[in-house]
Amino acid sequence: MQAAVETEGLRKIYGPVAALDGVSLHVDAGSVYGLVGPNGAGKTTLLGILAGVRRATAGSVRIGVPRERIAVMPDTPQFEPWLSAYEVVDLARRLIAPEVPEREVEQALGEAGLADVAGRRVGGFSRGMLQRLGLAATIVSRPSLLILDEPCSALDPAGRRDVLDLVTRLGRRGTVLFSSHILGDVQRVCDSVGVLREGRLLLEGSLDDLLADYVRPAFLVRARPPLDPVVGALRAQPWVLAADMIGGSELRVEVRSLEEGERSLAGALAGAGARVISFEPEAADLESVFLEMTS
Amino acid sequence: MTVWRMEWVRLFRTRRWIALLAGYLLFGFLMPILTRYQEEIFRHVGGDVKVIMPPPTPSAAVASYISNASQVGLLVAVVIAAGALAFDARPEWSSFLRTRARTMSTIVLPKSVVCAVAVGLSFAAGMLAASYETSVLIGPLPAGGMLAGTLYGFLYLVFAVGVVTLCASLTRSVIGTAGLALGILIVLPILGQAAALKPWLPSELVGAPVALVDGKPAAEFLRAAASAAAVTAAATWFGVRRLARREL
Repeated sequence: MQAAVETEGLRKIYGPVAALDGVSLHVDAGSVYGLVGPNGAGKTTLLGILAGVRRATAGSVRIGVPRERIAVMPDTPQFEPWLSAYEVVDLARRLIAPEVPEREVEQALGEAGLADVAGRRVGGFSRGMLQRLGLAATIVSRPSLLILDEPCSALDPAGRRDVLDLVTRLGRRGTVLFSSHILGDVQRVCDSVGVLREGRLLLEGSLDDLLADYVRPAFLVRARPPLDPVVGALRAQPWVLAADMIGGSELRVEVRSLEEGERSLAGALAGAGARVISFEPEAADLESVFLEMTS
Repeated sequence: MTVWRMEWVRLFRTRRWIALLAGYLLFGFLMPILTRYQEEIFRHVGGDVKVIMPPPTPSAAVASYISNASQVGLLVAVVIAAGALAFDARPEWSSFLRTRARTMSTIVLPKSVVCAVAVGLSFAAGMLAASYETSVLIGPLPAGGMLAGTLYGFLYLVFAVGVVTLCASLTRSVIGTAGLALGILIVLPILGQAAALKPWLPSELVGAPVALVDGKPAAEFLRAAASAAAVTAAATWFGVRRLARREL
């Protein structure tokens, strides 16, 4: 697939510290790509280089869309406090895409949930409102590539849901590359993920592949105690890799494959005389991958 | 909303225009009065001491305005220009501008030009006030000399904004930019110790209004005006270039 963003061996050195160390990133056009990593992993540095506000020490960057079709939002957007929200978004429009009609300003403010405060000066805005305003100023130019640095970091749960929905919609119109340390957000909206730690891209790929490759299939079983004999019986099964108690009435059963577990787990539990309340496959989440990769 | 309009809006919504205009107008109206009545003022504050002052002249009134306005006015002008041009002091706001503007000059030129025009117009308003007050209280001023002097003074302030533009590319903070620019503008006249350089120094333009009222020909300041224009253009070009290359 054609790349919207491609980097090769990207390095960024600050004094003795390598903020980025040979990052080769590939973001497919039309995808929503989540860049995850702990604090200080180099996410902001990497996005800054892609946005053109920082220079790489070595390596190459190839952006597959014209400069004026890229929109960037920093993690903590700030604006002149004496401008109104409408003026900020209109300024963004005039700077990057003057050909876009002015009515798009109101639409962008509406999409970001700021239609009611369009005329208010931004000096009185909360961090969450500033983040929404940053997003409105980003989408007003109808960009083909959106680079968003922690777009939900200052938002409450409802605001996060709104913004993630917006990111999903934007992903249908173009390419979105966003960084976050909220793994649930990334898992919810991204189709590709890159895990960055200490300036290195530990892995990259489609979310489904990563979950399949890095998360071992497991089942969560709730049953009435005593569970010790049940654990012993399950551990004796060749398709069970591990069986552990979680609290007094729950078991986590790691299996060779989901299919084997689905076929055999119910029978094995019955055979062990377990008084089963429920059992279900454990949800595979990005957090498990992330913790495994960064631990 | 364009960057041009934003810069005018900045002047009005932050009320910076009041600081600019009020400073120059205050000196413009006040200094001719002080010049006209200085003998009476000294007599009142001096008690039994008899103070003999030379009779007030239109030239002395203009000189009084220029000496005060060129210090306080320049300080205010430099601080206001630094506030607009040192946009890298706030990286998030700078990032907003930098990632959207197609060229750095799209950001910098409106800021420089609007500041220069605002500062220059305020100075000119002060000159107009000083002219009027002087004509009423002391005596008429040569219109041609005042006009040429105002233009030269205006040009010096444009030069000062050019220096601020350059300084904004050398340092990031507003205080650093203003401090460096003021340092350069204060030190510049010292170069006038070299006689060959003196006529070329932009700082010579500060005293041009007084000299022209005293009857000196306007052509005497053409070299200083030419170098001020050239240095302003060069400083702005260099500043834009450096700002474009700067990393956030």
